[in-house]
Amino acid sequence: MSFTDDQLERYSRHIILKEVGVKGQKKLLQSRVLVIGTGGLGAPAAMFLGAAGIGTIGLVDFDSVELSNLQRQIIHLTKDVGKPKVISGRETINEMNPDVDVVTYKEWVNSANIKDIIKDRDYDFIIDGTDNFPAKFLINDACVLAKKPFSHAGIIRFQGQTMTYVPGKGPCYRCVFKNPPPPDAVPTCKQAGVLGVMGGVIGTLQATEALKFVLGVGELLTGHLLTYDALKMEFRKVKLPNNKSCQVCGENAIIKELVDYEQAACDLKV
Amino acid sequence: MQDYVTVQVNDEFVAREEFETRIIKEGDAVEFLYFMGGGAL
Repeated sequence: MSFTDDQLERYSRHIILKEVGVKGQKKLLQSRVLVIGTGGLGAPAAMFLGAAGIGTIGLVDFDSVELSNLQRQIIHLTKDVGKPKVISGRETINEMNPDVDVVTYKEWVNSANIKDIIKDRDYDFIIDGTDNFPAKFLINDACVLAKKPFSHAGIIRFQGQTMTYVPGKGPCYRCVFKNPPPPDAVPTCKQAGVLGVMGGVIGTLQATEALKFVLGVGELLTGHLLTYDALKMEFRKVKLPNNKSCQVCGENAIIKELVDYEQAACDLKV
Repeated sequence: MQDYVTVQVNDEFVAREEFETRIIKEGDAVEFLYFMGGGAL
């Protein structure tokens, strides 16, 4: 593929980087990243991926834009309230960068559809931008079983964390957090609140990992959990060992099928 | 409490069943990793 003059101009700040160059920008334009959840984490992640020129971005979300989303889900604007998030997301990305093919999946991920969604464009990297534990474990298991790399993350109040899974290169999410906590053991953002920017910081870190993976540069957050405390302005990189007895990626893995865990009672959507 | 935390001592995971019995020595590095889910309605 050859670049247009506009593209050379658009991506010039990437192309100058020795780790990117024309070759790297081509890789980005030919790559496919799936963003599951177009909310606090997924919104900024998808925007930066779009700006960077990731050629195909999949957006998964069943929800429609609500007013309370706008404090942090910056891909959606006031005029988008009431619109399906994946449509709003696609519109924003296309206005920002027409080079990107945005594929929308207006659905909740579950054990019946996630494999098909991942296979739909054979995505190279997956970003977990979901906001509930059943989805996070589902995405982990689906990626481990499909041998796909992904970025996990979570945010609440003034804290956030993220880790990256690459098949064979370190622990998966289940190695660290064995099973979902009981439905009401952990507060949600709606209950506890979240500083709007938290998704921006952590979601952008997730996009960073996706870009580095596609380009094949730098060290990914495999085998590490990066934690961020915005009040203390502290990042910590906690080393994570592999867990040989992990139920899905360990030596005698017992999980071979995907599981739909029970959602917390307040999650039920009509 | 043990429902939403993972514990590491000196870079190794401590099984949930051992939370009450594991002895920490001086100089041990103990990490508490918390579940962080997000928005979920």
